[in-house]
Amino acid sequence: MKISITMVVNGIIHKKEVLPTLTLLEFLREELYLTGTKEGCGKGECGTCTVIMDGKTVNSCLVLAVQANESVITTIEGLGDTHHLHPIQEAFVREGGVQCGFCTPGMIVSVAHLLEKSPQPTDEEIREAISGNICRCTGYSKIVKAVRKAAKLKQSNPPVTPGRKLSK
Amino acid sequence: MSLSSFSYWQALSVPDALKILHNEQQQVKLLAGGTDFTVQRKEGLWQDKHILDIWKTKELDYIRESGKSIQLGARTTMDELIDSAVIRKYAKPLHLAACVFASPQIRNRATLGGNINNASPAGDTLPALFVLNAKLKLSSAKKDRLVPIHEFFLGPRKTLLQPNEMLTEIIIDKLDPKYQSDFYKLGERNAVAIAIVNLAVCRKIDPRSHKVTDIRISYGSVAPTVIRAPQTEQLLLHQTLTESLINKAAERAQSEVSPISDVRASADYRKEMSASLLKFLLKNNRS
Repeated sequence: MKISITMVVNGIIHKKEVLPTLTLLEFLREELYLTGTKEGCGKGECGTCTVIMDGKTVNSCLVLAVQANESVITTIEGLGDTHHLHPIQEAFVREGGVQCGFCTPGMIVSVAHLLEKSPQPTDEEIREAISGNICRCTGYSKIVKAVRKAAKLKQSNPPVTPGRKLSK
Repeated sequence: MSLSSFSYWQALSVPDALKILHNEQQQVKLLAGGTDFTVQRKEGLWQDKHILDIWKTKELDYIRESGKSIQLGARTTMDELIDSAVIRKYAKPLHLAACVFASPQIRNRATLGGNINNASPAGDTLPALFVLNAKLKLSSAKKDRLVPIHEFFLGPRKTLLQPNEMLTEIIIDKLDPKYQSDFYKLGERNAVAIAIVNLAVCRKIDPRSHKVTDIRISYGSVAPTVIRAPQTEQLLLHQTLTESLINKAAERAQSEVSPISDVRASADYRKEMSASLLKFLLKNNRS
């Protein structure tokens, strides 16, 4: 039996009928076509499916879509786009924080949440904030460097929705 | 991967949830943050079961301090435990366990009640709750009962919770902030690892005589359930923590654990580490 749910995703209200077995990850990718959020392990270990739900990061593969009823969700698509990068995305590009790129959406969402809570994080805070996100290319040093850069960029250029133009 | 299907109910209050548990003939599986449930579902568990979602039962989401005890609603998340000044001050082992629990994402969803009900021998909050002498309030439509945590677990994934009952509250005695509390989780990675061994120790040392006036030691992942190590505690009580005594205690602790070999580690390694971690924590004397 389908259940009616309402969710605000990246500022847009969505009303859908879903099966209770559908995960939030499946809902975002298959119902809303927001495929920026990735499925890695599917059991909460890799963090590539990370989204912000009601102000907190969650593994969208571990949340049922019905449990996100009446929630406010931010996915990677809510932070910037190809032409207007968010300062965190810009920092990842500048510092080479992206290798294969599969972990990047989840990493950036975790970092966005960190910088909301702690605009100038220590390295320890950065490592803790991304501890639930695995980079299988093992590019952690550059990711941490990119987060430091993002904190600086964000301070000097606070993001204008939906993001800033990529500087050359 | 065989995904199980299930029927879904949601309860917005405890009386609602208890009524459903009371009236339903078939066994009902409770769901809160879902961090274990969704994984177990992918392993084929809970097929065709009735799922009762209590995530939005906000009346179970609290940390209250009264007199000598702290009451925690079963729906309290790990993240809320970490942020609580009361837990940090009066239930330090639980604060430390919550800090190393899984990952930031999982700590935002995983609940204390869920970690207890899941009844894994490796559950990270359990050694902390054992040294804090936690009591569990099990509620049904007809009555509540209080069960000491060490009596609750019958084996891996087995508890004495009845089908018509749910865990509603966890009660702990406040721990005097003079106690030194330590928690160590040994896993394959810092985040999201299931413990190979986890260990909570809290101790009170008399500042003048330097003797141990109280010590509580609890191990996870080295027996069918989380355990206290009463003989090791007894050996250390009223003594000064010298190197030779600590070595003897570590040896004694090895005889109190009964680990198995599994995909994460061998029984021998777990035994070795049970001793090593205890030595490590006992030697780290901050008083």
